[in-house]
Parts: sequence; C-alpha cells; structure tokens
Amino acid sequence: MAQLRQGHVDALETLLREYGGEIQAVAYLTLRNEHDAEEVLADTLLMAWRKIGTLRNPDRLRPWLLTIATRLALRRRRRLQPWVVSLDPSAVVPSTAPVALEELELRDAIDRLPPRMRAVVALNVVADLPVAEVARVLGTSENTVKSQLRVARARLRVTLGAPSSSSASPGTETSDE
Amino acid sequence: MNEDFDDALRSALRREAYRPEVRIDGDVLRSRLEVYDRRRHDLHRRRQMSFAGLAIVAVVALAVWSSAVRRPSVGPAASAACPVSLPLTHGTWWVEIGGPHAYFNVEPGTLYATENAWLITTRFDPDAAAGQDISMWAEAVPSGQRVDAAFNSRMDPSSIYRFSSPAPSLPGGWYLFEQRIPSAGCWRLVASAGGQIAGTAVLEVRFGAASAQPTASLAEPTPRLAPPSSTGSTSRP
Repeated sequence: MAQLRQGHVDALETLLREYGGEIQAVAYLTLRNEHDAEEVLADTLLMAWRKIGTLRNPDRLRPWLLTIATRLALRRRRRLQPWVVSLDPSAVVPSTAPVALEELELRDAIDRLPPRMRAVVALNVVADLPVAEVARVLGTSENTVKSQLRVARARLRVTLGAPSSSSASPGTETSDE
Repeated sequence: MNEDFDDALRSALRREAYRPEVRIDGDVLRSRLEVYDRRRHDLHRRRQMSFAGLAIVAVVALAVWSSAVRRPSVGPAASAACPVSLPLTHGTWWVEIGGPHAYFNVEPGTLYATENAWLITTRFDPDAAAGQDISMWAEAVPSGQRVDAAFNSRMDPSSIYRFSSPAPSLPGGWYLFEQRIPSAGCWRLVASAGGQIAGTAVLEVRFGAASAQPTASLAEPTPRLAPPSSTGSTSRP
C-alpha cells in the first residue's frame, strides 16, 4: 500500500498478483469476453495506481478496486454494444478440452442475463461481497441488488433444469440494457 | 431454498468466471503506463506549443493548406529526428499505434518501403459521423511528401482473428485503407474525419524488399500488403 501511494511502478505488479484474478473474473462474468476483461483488468490497475491518493481508507482497497473494475466494465459494455454479435457458445472460447453440455448451458444462461445483473452476480458470487457492498459498488439500493440476485438465480435455475424455489419468475425483471 | 443447488450454482459460476487465465503481466502494465504517460506528455507539450507559437502555426498551416489542395494536413515535422510513436497492445496480440482519436494497426518495425500498398486497419474512436469524409495518408518526415491512401472497406472487428483468438472489440469505427509508402525513413501516418485530423502516428520505415508480394490474409495480425489501387477518401455510410 505504501509503495502504491508513493507511485512505485512495482506496486502495479503487486496489485496484479493479489487482485488480478478476482478483478478479471468479475469483469469476465460481466462482459463475457476474455479480451475485454483483460482490458478492464489493465485499465483498473492503471487507474488505481494513478488515483490511489483519493482512497482514504486503505482497508477498502479491495472493494475500491472492484468498484473501478465494475464501472469500467459496464461503461465498456455500453460503448461496445453496437458490435455485440451472437455467437455459438461453443465457438466463443476455443478449447481442446471437452466441454460438458451443462457448462455450455450455464454459459448461455449467463450470456442472456443483462450486463448489470451479471455484474451483481459477479460481485456477490465471485467476489463474495455482501449485498450492501454490492449496492454501494453499483450505486444502487440493497433492495434492487436483492431483487436482481433473486431474478438471476431463478433464470439460471430454469436454464439448468433445477426447480425454481424463488418467488421471482424469469423474465419479470426489466432489462437494463 | 435448495441450498445444495445454490452451492452448486455458486461453484459453477465461480468456475466459469475464473475460466480465462490472467495473461496480463507486469511488463504489459509497465508498457501501457509508458504509452499513457508519453501521450499525456505529448498532449501537454502540444498545448504548450500551440499557445506559444500560435502565429507560427497559422503561417505553417496556411502554407500546408495551399499546397495540399484543401485537404487537412499536419505539415512537415519541425526536426529531422524521427519521434517514433509507441505501440499499445490490446488483449494479447492486437497492436495499435497513434491517437488521440484514430489508431493504426501497425506493429513498429514491420513496414518497409514498397510500391505496393499496405492494408492498414484504422480505428476511429469516436467513429466518424454518418456522411462525414474519412481519409488517410502518409507524410514523409521532415520533407512533408504526402501519399494518399485509398479507402478499401469498412470492417467488423468481430471477423478479425489471429489463429483462434479474436481481436478485442475496441470501440469506434474500423476501416481498411490501402497505404503506399514508397521510400524508407521517417513517416507520419495521418487519419482524418470530417476534415479534422483524428490521429497520427510516426513510424520508421525500413528499406523495402524489391520482390514483396501482396497478401491479403485476415489472419495476419500485422500490416498486410494490398495491390496498388486508386487513392481517395470516402464518406462513412
């Protein structure tokens, strides 16, 4: 943290090592594109390196980084919208490893969620942030976050063939796209 | 609530989120930082110069304008040195050079002088407005010799691959230009939209291979050669 505040370039590598995986995972689940997630990761770390002076409480470094990453990802998603094309999920990530049908269905189901809802899921499920923190990161209310999580869970469950125990039915949420 | 299923879903989502490896490393971050700093420094220097030498710039611009038949130009460089622009890598392989609002897919050191034209992907960010003229040309530094590029086509970046890896979906409008660079030395690539210069990049061009043959494979990440064709700008559809 001290290195970061003093503007040491090596601090970038420390940030990358400690938070890179998590930031990229959140960005990837939000954007659904590996290269865009990498761009968000690089931009997040560079922005954090430059703006570290604005972070008052060092204990909040992790949520602060996730806030930057999520906002950059959502902004990027809005800017890129005209170029978004629908691809066969099996073609998106070329891999020599066999992919289970269930996995492809999950990817497809995630792709169909609106980006902001994906960001909510990423922050809560991947980054393990509590609902209140997710709401803070996204600048929204806790109720909105809870509702989006409920709808996302219901939609994913339906896709994966599990019985939906949630009261929210798929398709009831207004898309924020 | 079926907690077992929630755990399973949670694990599956995490697996999916962490599926892509982190390929960015410290070197990538450092090179980006260098490029950003250089751009910021250039911008600052340009601003200073523009305030200090407004009158001189006006005279030079007038001279360039009259010699360039009413087409925008950045004019000859002030010194004989070649201030080569720094490239920026997006994702793992897509290399761009230039800015601030137009970027050229050129990897420094790959261009050589040839009578054929290089097929260069130029990205305008923001994209040109509908109906606006876009054009590209190269200017020798410091002589100011200008070679206009020919517009080839508009591009969809989702169709660009290197092996199985797609180009990053960077914002803006993507266009292909056929740019001839007839001699080795220092050259400045310039892209303009609506009569305004959108971006420039300075490159060192090597001595050419006399037997250079045109190729047009979209799988190539670096500049390609295109057969010579007519020059000119085009309007964005």
